[in-house]
Amino acid sequence: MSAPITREEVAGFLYREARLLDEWRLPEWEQLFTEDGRYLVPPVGIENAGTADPATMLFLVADDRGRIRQRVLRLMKKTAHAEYPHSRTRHLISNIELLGEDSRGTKVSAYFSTYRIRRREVICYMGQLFYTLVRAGDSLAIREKRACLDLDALMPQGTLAFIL
Amino acid sequence: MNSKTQTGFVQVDRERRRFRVDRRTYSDAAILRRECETVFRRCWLYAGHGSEIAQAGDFVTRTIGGYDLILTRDRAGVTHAFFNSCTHRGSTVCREPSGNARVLTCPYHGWVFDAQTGKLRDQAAKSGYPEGFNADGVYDLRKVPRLESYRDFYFINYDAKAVSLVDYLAGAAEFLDLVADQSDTGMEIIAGGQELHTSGNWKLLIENSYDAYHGPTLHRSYFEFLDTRVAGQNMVATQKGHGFGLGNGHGAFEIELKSGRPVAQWIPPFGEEARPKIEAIKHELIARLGAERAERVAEHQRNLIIFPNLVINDNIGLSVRTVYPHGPDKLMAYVWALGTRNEDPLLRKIRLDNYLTFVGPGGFATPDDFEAFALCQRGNDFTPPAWSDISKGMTADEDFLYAKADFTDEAQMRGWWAQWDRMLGGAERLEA
Repeated sequence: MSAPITREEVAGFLYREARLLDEWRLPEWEQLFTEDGRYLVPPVGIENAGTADPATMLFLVADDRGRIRQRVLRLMKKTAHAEYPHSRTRHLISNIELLGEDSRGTKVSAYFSTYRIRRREVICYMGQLFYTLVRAGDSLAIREKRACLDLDALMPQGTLAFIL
Repeated sequence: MNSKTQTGFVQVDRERRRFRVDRRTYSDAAILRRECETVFRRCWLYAGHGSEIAQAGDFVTRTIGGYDLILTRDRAGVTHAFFNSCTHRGSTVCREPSGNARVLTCPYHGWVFDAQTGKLRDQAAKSGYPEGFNADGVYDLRKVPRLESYRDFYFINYDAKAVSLVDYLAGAAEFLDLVADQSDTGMEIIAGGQELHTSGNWKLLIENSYDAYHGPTLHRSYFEFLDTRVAGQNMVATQKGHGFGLGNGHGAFEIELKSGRPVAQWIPPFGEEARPKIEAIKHELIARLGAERAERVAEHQRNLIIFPNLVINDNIGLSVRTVYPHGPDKLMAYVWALGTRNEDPLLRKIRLDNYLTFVGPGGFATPDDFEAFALCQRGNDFTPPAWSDISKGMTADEDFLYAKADFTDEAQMRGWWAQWDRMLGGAERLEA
């Protein structure tokens, strides 16, 4: 039995994830996921974003590990026009809470506000993150990352070209 | 030989096969006002799908062509469209995006309206109004002048004298049939509709929606991804088909492409478990529609625009979008995914998954389209006035409203702009 995951470990891990994203080190970010890892962004304006199922409603993002890899490959290309040149982003994480364990891993809730700066415009994406984390060697790994936006419409955001 | 157009904003030079649009039409506030007064006041505008108000008392609220509306279904199954404003002092009456209600109560003075018929039921006042105050019904919720449907697609029109919906749809009706025919149990809107703002004049999204020319360049990274899903097939090279005008400014392109469809084209990434299910759907289509039409419904992909602003993309997924101006340089879009009613859960999952990869704000292609709108808008607004070119595939004697060319040409867009020109210039009123 490995030692239980602590809040301090989780905070350090999530801060590092945020930094990898803001530095556009996406191939390294992708390595944070387990082989069955998923990255989900539920639709905005729904009540049950924390538990909604991408098999029954239209998500903004519902990537399995293979598509996370494809998303990263794409975003690192010059032909991913929506992110060329890469916008500047700042992922802020707060209010980290450990919600408990289940057979899949440790459940974590955190609040986020992520700023995207592009063509002299600042646009904020804010909401709540739900993670399922597992131990992986000396560090942690993401089995699921679910970013629930607090928006009721993508106004003015329009798209979600980068990673939350 | 130059053909004179109605507004002068569209320039046609048949000899040199040039069809050009004045770029001020993407940025000028006065032109936008004319669009709102003509196009959005006289055309049939898509309001919603019957599945969104399936039961008696169901309602949705939404803004259509600049007006807040409530769409409802009554006990007899009849649908209604009301303006969402109290007949007393104008407050928004219904504040929920959707629901089921017997009555709608204005939050201000408590006027109560029958949610299904719009009739004023109560004024929350014991004194001050004479008997029969509303005998002529003037205080009932105001009805939108026209509401008609075709194959469960509901449209409204703010012009009481407008031609019938089916006359208006012209050749586009056939393309709605090709959607509605995908199931013998009907179609439905899937939860998770999107509402968004983005940079760019609203017409940039219209043009983009059935522009196959930009695919291989702008969406190169998407096609590279797609090629990893279906091994040994170059998706760009294998496409073939036509683009055409369908009358009244409507247009479409239709192609053959093996990128997979829940109705009904199986590809290996869908998995072996899905294969017999999709084949069974194909067999049902053949039995119901005949082999030739079933082939078209199942294996072909279509991008359709119903003038002015309804986009139906019936390709790797099935989506319904409407686009409205939000000032000259921004647009507002509603986006819904459509599926077959009572769809097998595995096929519904595949449908949504297939759709997500391309379309939508977090997809591998739509964000690049939106980037292109922002770049076009910037280029229009921040360089001297110029013309946009929509000539690709034009013939010297082309009838723009019914033009036909290769699907990578721009015939379908010329039909749209020809109608736009006729409406803004006053030659076409679309009235009976």
